[in-house]
Amino acid sequence: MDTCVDISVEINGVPVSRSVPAETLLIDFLRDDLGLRSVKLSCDMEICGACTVLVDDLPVSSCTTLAADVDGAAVTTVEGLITDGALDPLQQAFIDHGAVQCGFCTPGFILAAKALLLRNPSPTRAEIVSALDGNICRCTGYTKIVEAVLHAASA
Amino acid sequence: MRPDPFTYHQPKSLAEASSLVAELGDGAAFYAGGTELLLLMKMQLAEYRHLVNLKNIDGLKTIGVEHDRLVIGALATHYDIAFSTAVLKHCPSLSRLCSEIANIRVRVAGTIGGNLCFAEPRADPPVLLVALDAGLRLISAHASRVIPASEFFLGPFETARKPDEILTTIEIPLGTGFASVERMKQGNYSLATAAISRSDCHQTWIGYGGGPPKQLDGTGALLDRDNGRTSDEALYAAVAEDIADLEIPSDIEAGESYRRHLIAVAVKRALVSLHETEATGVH
Repeated sequence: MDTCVDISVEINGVPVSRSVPAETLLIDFLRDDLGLRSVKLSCDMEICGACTVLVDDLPVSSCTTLAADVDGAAVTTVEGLITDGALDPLQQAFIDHGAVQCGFCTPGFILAAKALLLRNPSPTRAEIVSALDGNICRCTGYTKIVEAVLHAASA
Repeated sequence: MRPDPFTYHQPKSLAEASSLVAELGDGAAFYAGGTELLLLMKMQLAEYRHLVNLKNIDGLKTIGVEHDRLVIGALATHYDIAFSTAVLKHCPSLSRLCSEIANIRVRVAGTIGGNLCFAEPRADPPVLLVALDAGLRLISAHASRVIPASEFFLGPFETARKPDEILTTIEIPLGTGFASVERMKQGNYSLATAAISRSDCHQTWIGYGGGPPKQLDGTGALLDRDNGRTSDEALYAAVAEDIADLEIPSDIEAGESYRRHLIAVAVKRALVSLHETEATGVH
């Protein structure tokens, strides 16, 4: 059997077909093959959330997901949240609330929050905290991040 | 960290998957959510030249009631189980547990079957499922059997599953009473877990990070005798006695004496939680 796997996947709305070595991790496929550098490698063990992407609107750790496993799925990175040059309300809310410092964790936080708002457009503060439990920020603390999500949800 | 190259097999049936692993031998592993297996392969702690993906086999994610059992497909993710109305109705303690495992990303990718077969000693589902008297169905190309969860876990990362057997369903008997589970969480895992189920007697099980779920016989007997009116002091003493000879791990996450304390706290919280579910009548 071939050690390469054919995959067809929609990345930020654009269909992509490739043959990739079976062991290719989704994060490497996105960053190195497709140049989507918003996807960050940090803990490399599903703890920190910096590599979060959405697969069919649900968050996964791209550091520990095979590219082969997203065959047939729709993958969203933070680049894909921009519509006709306009930021997603969540992205704008992070800016407006100062929920960004070094920015390394930010794409993961925004995508985890996006997944929450897609399934629950009006979350409580507790629901936001619960959904973001598992994304780690080492700069700002979490208060401004939670406020940004609350604002985006009510906007 | 990157896994070494491997060949990715995508069988369409259980028989094909089982035969593949039987043929390929030690270098092959069944592959489900990957949340545990890929990590090990990335860290070079496990080396497999062949991964046999189970995710494209029909029917392994189904959750529903069959006769007197809640039947959960082994490929159902923690996220699937947490949001299943059937699980919420018939086994809310499992719903809640699956909504709290690790983090959202692990819950979305990780499967209940993968969790059980990996037999991570700090994992919570094994503890609750033994307390619920769940049965685990194992299927190979030639045979099918159901074994009690309490006989499935043999030790850390060790189960009664034969190499070519696939865990296909988790079967939880319905209407057997109330159950609760509480965990002392540290990062993605637990330092201590306690589950209590009660129909005619209290079944009290713990997870402690060092081996398979352990039943606390003395504690269960005490709860039966006291009929729910056990004092904290008596409960802590009973738990301490039940785990006195148990080899409790001591590592960077927690020392042995602290873990012994947390086990007793988890049992106490599980008891409180059990009383709450009994008082409200919501299982």
